[in-house]
Amino acid sequence: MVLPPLTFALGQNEKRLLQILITFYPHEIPDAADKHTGIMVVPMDKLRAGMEVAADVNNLNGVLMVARGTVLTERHLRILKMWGIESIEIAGGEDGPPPDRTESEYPTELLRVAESRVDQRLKHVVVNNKTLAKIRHLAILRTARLLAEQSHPSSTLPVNL
Amino acid sequence: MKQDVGSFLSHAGKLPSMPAVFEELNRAIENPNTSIQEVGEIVSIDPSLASRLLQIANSAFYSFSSQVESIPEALQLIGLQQVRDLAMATCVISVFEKLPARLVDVSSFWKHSIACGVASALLAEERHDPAPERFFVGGLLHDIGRLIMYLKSPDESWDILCRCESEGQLASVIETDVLGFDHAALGAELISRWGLPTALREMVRCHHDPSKSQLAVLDRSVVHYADFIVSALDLGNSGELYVAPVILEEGRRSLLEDERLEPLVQDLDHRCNQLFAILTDCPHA
Repeated sequence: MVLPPLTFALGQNEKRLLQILITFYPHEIPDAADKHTGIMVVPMDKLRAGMEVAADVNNLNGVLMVARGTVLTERHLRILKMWGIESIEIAGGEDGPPPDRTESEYPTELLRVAESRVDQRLKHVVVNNKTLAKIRHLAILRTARLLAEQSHPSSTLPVNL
Repeated sequence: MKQDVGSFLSHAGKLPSMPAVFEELNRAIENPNTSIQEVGEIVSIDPSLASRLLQIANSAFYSFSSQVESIPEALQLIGLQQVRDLAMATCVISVFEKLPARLVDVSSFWKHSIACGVASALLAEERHDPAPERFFVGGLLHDIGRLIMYLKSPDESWDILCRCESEGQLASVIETDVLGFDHAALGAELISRWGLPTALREMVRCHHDPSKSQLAVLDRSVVHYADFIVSALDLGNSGELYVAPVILEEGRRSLLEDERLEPLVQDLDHRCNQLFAILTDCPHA
């Protein structure tokens, strides 16, 4: 189905209807992206901390919850979920949200180097439970990402410390 | 030369002191009769402090839905005690502006410290703590002992760093061997001498060994765990080659569920960048 473009001003009810339609027809999302203004409608389960809100988010009573321009944090995501918001407009359009990286996205050799660096730093830590294993895992992915960035600098990767 | 931490500081010569504005602010906030207006006026005396507080209020650290435009507004939104904690943080950083570069990468040191501060605040928020700022300060200042060590004992500090590398050992172990105390104890003593709260002193003193802390069980491991996470992820570095062992309290509700780790780390990244720029006056490189 064809969804109305986002270039004209939508009233509260139209926005709400649009959000509900998008939830039921998620495959239409690329069509809903307005490439001129770089706005994309993102459903709740694809929202991530770090995304920038492209339009005010109001709850059913019309009360402003998140202002346009806000960069989402985990706290925002929790609150939005509580209020049953199904999707919101995110700035960024073609760049999109940062991809979820897993091990399969890195070359084996890179991962090996990352792993050995992390294990060297964790020499005095006994990784003997799930929590520590998880932290070690996150550390390896982060190191892998930094190593990958050093060899192939890319502007779409999120900046961090 | 081994000695106890008190003698070390007494013989260390002139110690850096906290800016006067902080002491005045602290006194005013401790006094229940002071109005928010009056506190606002004290903060405004120091324009760089006022400006940093406003920037923090408007940063990702808080994510308020509208712009905070004035100090009284920041005080209303954030709370007096919390503003005092933030002022403490920004004052301490201003104290250590000149550090010997060969011993420590200053920028990396503060990145690590700020990351630990934010991680501590996030862990507190997970528990719905109403005033996570005090943990922010605890995390931020946890390694302050290292800075004093570098400043006042540069030669021994160099020896310690070299031995850590050649022996593959943790800093605390070598520090105790060379000086008679470690950076945690030294930092705690400095905090005491500055007249800062006992809770803060405990967070710093016990950040490697929460079991000896006087703080409540749920509070005492926050900075310890935050330091571990931040070190494991190598977010900045305060001069340590290895990640110190972590003690996860067993048999009690844990500080953080495993599935919350990843979201916490993402939130951490996001909040740190801005805060680093605000607190150290450096554009993020």
